[in-house]
Amino acid sequence: MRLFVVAVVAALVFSTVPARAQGADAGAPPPEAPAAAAAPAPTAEPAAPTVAPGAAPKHEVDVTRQASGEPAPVLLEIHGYVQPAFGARNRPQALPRDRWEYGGLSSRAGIILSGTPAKDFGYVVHLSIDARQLAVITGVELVDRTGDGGADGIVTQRSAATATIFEEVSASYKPLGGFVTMRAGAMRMPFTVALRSANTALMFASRPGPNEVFQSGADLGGLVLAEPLEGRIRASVGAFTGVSLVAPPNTTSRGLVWTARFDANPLGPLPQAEIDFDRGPVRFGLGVGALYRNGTFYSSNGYELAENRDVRVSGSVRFAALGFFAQAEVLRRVVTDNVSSRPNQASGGYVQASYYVGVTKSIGLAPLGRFGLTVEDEATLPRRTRWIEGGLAFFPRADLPKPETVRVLVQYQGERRTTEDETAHAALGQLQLLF
Amino acid sequence: MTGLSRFACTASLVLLAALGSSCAESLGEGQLGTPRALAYVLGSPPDMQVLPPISDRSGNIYVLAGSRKAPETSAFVMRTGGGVRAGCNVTKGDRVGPVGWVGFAADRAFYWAGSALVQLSWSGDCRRMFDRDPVTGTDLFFRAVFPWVADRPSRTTAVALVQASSDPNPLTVILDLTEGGQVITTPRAFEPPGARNVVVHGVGASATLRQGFLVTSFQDGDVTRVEARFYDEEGALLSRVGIPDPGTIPPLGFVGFLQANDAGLVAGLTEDKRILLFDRSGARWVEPRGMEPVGIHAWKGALWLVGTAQNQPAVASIADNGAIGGPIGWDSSNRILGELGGPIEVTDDRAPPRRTMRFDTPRPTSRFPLVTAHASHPYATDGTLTLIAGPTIGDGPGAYTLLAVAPVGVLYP
Repeated sequence: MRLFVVAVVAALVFSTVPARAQGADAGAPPPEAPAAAAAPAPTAEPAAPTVAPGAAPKHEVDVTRQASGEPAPVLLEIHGYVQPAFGARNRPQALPRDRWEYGGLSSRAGIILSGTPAKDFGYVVHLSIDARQLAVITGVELVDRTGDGGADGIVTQRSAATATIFEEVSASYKPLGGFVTMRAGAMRMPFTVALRSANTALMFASRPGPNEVFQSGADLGGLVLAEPLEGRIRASVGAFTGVSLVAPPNTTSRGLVWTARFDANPLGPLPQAEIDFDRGPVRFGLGVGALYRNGTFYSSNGYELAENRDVRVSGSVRFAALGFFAQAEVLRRVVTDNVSSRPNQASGGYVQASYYVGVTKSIGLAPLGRFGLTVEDEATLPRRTRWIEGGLAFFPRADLPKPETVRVLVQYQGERRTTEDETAHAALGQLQLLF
Repeated sequence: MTGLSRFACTASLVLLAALGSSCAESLGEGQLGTPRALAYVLGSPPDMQVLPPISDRSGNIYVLAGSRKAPETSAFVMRTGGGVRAGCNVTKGDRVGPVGWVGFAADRAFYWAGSALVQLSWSGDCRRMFDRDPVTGTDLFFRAVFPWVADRPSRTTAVALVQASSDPNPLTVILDLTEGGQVITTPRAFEPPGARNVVVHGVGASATLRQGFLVTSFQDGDVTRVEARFYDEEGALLSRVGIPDPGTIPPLGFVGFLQANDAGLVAGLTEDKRILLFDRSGARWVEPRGMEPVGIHAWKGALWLVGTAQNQPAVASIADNGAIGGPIGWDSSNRILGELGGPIEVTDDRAPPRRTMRFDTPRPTSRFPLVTAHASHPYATDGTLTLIAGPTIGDGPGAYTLLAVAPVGVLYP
């Protein structure tokens, strides 16, 4: 909250901040860059995916040049989003208390502060607030080692938080005329396409279930990103501390996480949002990502327990044409150590598609569908999960440069744990407002 | 295709090959993983009374020592992150020791000892579950616990036959084992209502079939009936099958647990070495041929009779139609014996810092590794857990032996 107040005050103080249209024109291109905003730019997938959810991308603002020819610094831009969601969820096999949940579900809000205070240097602060966060201690247990009913001690169970308030806090440097971007701070590792997508660019209210099984949340580290050939190639390598990867209870894991991702979009970049609002020509993209860690688990009192190796790979295919957008990913994780002879192995994948229809000039609709599958604990006692989702996205201001500025989403979420014979059904409606 | 497209495709194919190669190697048949020191346990090889270890979903390993014929019970937790928790010896105080592992949840395991159901947690916490009727306060006695814990994301349950001291017959109940829950629900009366002197001879369950089964006898008027029964995961009785020529079966007179294959055939081995086969259509007795049976194992959906033949470890397949194949030498067991032919290094992480110790003369805890009354626990792909005995202190009935637990590759031929 304090940060928010500081940010607002800063916005009022810094007179160099370009004026942003408000109200009905929110999200409209700034007057300095009409051409860039009117047509899909070749770099429609910006280097910082979380930077531009609600308004024109940063580079569209940063075009005013000083007398020296150097772009004027943009000290602060404020973007954000509000995504309240309401619905109901039913789990027929659950405890009576948990069979029905209703009310606010998956509600989320975010504020993004960004800028380029000096040539080639930029920053992003993306704060997100949602209901899943701050679960750090996952269990507290009285220990009765003798079975006499008395407590012999207390044990707390800790797990790495999978969600974080900081979606991204990073500083970036773009040497070589912007050909390469170096970024450091807290950010999501670009392991999958879904992780690269901004919260506001998602097809559904949340990322695909299989994606969350394999990696989620922000991590701390640095990334080098190159986007040659007008964004047709996008390659990144990075090193992170791995705080988003789960370690066994009461242990600490140390060891750098190396990531690499390569995407090729031979016919041009695909839409940043997972809907083809532009109803553009045929484009497709192939991508692969990898994550590798050779680390060590340490006990709660700091001694070495085991060395572990964590390998995660993903492959993606994307396609867009004439309003149709499809995206599929396969994912795999193998975590081994030198003690247990028990690999933590999982596979999964999903396919999702949308079709955008402009009903009128200012109203758009998009039916959505997604199917996902994971098999966890493959090397021990496999657990299979299937996700089926369907929905309809309604865009009442499709005439805005970013039609997703106002979005109403009605969605069904189905999750079927086939091994455990448990199901969950949810219906929710989500309103998205970008500012 | 442009050069760019070709490059993109090639790069993607190379990386997709990496995707396919991200596979973990499993242990070869009879190959030992890293042995980890457990604790000193009462007894000395080859007659140690220790059940095959099991693990929970988190990889914590649980070891249960004792036998049905003696009240002493000792349970241990070997934590996935290192460290061993010992000292759990909870029973109901009756004369029957551990019957077996009931199952596991994410980071807990449950054992049935005498008339008690005990939860053992990764933290070392050890407690009797449902010890008393929450309404009347009377003691509850577990007459049977189906050895399968249905661990779902929202609920953890098991099914048992429970009897209070005031009840004439046990009730079939659902045990809600959800952490913080621990509620008994859906009590169902024993059928037929007029039954008396209910005795449970053998119990089993199948996670694949999502069923439990038991062999029971009871007085129905003037008639003594011996039946095999099938229950679903809600404790509902699915079917009853009469057992012909039951002879004399003591209470809990089947060694280990009853085991089922994926086709629904259930097998059990009595203490006097008779094999009972039944499904929901009928039951029959079979005599083992050519081998000295020790137990019935279910592995990857199939049934195996394990034992010894010509003084060697052997297994015989049990087909879906109940036909028992001839005994085959069990390479997995023999290879483990080979691995234990010389000194082995054992990781000792019972307390930090981790260090390595040596078992100069390692031995299996039973005559042959894996040849046990209880089935092997599926610990990893084609892998289970085995116990290795190290140095022994003392001799005779008061001897204690240091045990280690090791993952091992296993194949049922």
